[in-house]
Amino acid sequence: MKNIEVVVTGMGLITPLECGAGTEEFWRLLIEGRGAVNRVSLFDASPYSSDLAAEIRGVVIKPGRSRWASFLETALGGAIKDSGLRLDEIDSSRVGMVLGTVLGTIFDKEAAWRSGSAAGVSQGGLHLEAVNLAGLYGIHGPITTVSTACSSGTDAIGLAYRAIKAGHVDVVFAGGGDTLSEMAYSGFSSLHALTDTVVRPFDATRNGLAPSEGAAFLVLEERGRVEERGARIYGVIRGYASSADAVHMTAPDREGRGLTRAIRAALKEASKESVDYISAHGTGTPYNDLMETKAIKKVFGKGAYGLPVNSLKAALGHSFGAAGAIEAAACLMTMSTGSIAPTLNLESMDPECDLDYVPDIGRQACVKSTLSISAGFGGQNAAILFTSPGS
Amino acid sequence: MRVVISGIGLVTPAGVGKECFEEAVFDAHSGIGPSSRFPDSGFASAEVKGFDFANVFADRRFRRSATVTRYGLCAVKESLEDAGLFNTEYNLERAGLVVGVTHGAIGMTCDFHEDLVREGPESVSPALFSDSVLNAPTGNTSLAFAIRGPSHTIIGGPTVGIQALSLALSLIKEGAVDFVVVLSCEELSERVIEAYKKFRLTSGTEMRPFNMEHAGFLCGEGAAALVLESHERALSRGVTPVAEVCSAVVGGSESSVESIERGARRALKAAGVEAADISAVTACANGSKMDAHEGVGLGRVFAHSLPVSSIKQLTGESFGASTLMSVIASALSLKRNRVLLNRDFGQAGPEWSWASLRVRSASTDLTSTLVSSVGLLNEAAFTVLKRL
Repeated sequence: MKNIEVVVTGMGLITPLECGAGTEEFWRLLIEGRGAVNRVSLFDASPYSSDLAAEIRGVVIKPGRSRWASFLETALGGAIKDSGLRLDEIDSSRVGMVLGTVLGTIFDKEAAWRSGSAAGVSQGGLHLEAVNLAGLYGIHGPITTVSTACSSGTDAIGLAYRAIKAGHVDVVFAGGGDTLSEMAYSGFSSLHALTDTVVRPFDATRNGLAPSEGAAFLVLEERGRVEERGARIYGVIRGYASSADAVHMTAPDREGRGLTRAIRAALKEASKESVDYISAHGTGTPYNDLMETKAIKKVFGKGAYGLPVNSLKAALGHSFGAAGAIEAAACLMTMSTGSIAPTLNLESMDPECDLDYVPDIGRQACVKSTLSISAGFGGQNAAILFTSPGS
Repeated sequence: MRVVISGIGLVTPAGVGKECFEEAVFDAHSGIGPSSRFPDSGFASAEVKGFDFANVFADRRFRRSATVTRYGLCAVKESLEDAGLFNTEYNLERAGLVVGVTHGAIGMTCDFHEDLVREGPESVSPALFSDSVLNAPTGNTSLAFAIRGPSHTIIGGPTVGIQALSLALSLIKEGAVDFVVVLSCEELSERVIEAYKKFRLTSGTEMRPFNMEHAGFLCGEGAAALVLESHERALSRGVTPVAEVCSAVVGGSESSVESIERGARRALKAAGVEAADISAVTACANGSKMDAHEGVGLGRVFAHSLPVSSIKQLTGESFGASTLMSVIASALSLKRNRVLLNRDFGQAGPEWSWASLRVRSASTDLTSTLVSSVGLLNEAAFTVLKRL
């Protein structure tokens, strides 16, 4: 691959925590230890064993837009503004977009599904919505929609990074977005993966996840052109890798072998042996959190015990295709602010999950390198490594 | 690094298996006919026939998988066998998988929703849920063949077959993997047929690519898989590749024919060839209004009388899957040095006046071909193949 450095110059997001009030507010609330998991209001959850989810409330959906597209528009618009990029001043055919999603417009299509309408054929239109969205902002380069289950957001950023490294494009808006839907809710309920109490990543009593929604975009650019225009750099992407467990469609490899391979490959690409902080997938399900812990120990050995590892899903719920992108933004905020967000609701230590998960209270730390890891259905694993601009 | 196609696998309406597909492609045998699965639709379609999953795929873990996944599994198995990589001792951590999907497991998604709506949450099946996600064919394929390297699912229209090819090409050139399986698969669904009918994109009974009336396409289904690896590696394993993949470029998304023209030019540049070096084009043309845009866009790039063909009259329109079928057909045409033929499509639209849409066999010295794919919003992707 060419010796091109890919940097992040902008971020935009919308999550249940700040409801689109901006990245600074998102970060302030996260560091304060605020959570957004609450009772479901978007549909009747009474038939389910759980009624917990993290919803974005008070969001204004423009006429003719889906809930999903509205989230994406908020996040993408925020990222473009934050980067200071003027798209009318650059070659728009060299500006691309990579979007990660699992279910896309499913919330808006559920009514159609119920009525048996042909308009319910939603999945085939996901890429068209992405192309339309890009067109709104004058993004005329390659548009890619990826769907690698819950690692979609991380993979989207990883593929965008590779596209710039390969010289295919100069700028890419990369991220992910998903909405809460009864389909996802019922699906995870059928798998007995929903918590009926509280999301407790890495806790001995953890018993499931809380579905969520949101969107986040990062602006990725080649470093040289960024320095020319004097823009702020949040961080540098140094390595990315994807891998497959090839073990089970829904359950992760219990030993975390696939995730171990992804982390090792990302570290190797970054020429690094360790990092200062890890943003874990940390869904709060028994198998995922233990698998991740094992993978981190395999890769970092004894050093794993001195590494702060957190999960944002106790605060934000699991927003599927958005999660990896939101967590990538959190990694960059961690490096920028020197604050690590806490893992909420971690009260009872699991003897097998015995790393430093930054329980309940955030902390200050000098973080110059971070790793964000994701996993999902189909045995998907992804790892992406960021460093601070000066590293 | 030169990258080649070292194995192919196909499940198509025109024929199941690479031999049947190859025969159908060179005989211009169509898989389109009255819909037997959805006879009430009143539409013709291109259905996969004579497909016996249990006979081809003995692994019982996948017996309840979605139709789209079953097509994909059989196509991948054949491609790995063809490449001499099935059940071998190769390190599958160094193998990648890139899948392009448009609608995915739409049948299972419908079933899941029907259960949820009619019977309530207690009745929904976890298996239907996990197999209805868009990356289900990918997850099942990696599971079935123990492919443990990079694993990606790309969602898109007709371009997604070449988008998957493009990503696979990058993975090999970066040295991240030794080989990559590229798969694109679709299944027919009454919902999909109804949706395109509603959007006035389907024709009803006939499919006539290039035709001036742009009456629409007919839906198809199936799977196409190919194995990509370096030429050097294929030769060292004693495999005779089908063709070289010189470039696979995802064009722009600007809603105009300029993006088609620009994308095609970029694909040529990336392949290191001139427009004059291209011996034939395998077009995306499917009888819809998009044919006109494709014809104008490509006409700005290529000289007069270049042979242009479309296999959609044989396979129907299965989006990414039929695009990857087109890539394989184009590769086979290079290997055999035979131009792909068009069936009778009536009067061609004026935007194709530059092209030789020959319907009879003719000898041509084929050296390089371009495969074109164009989506509903003029998003485009192209690949340049070369004879070895």
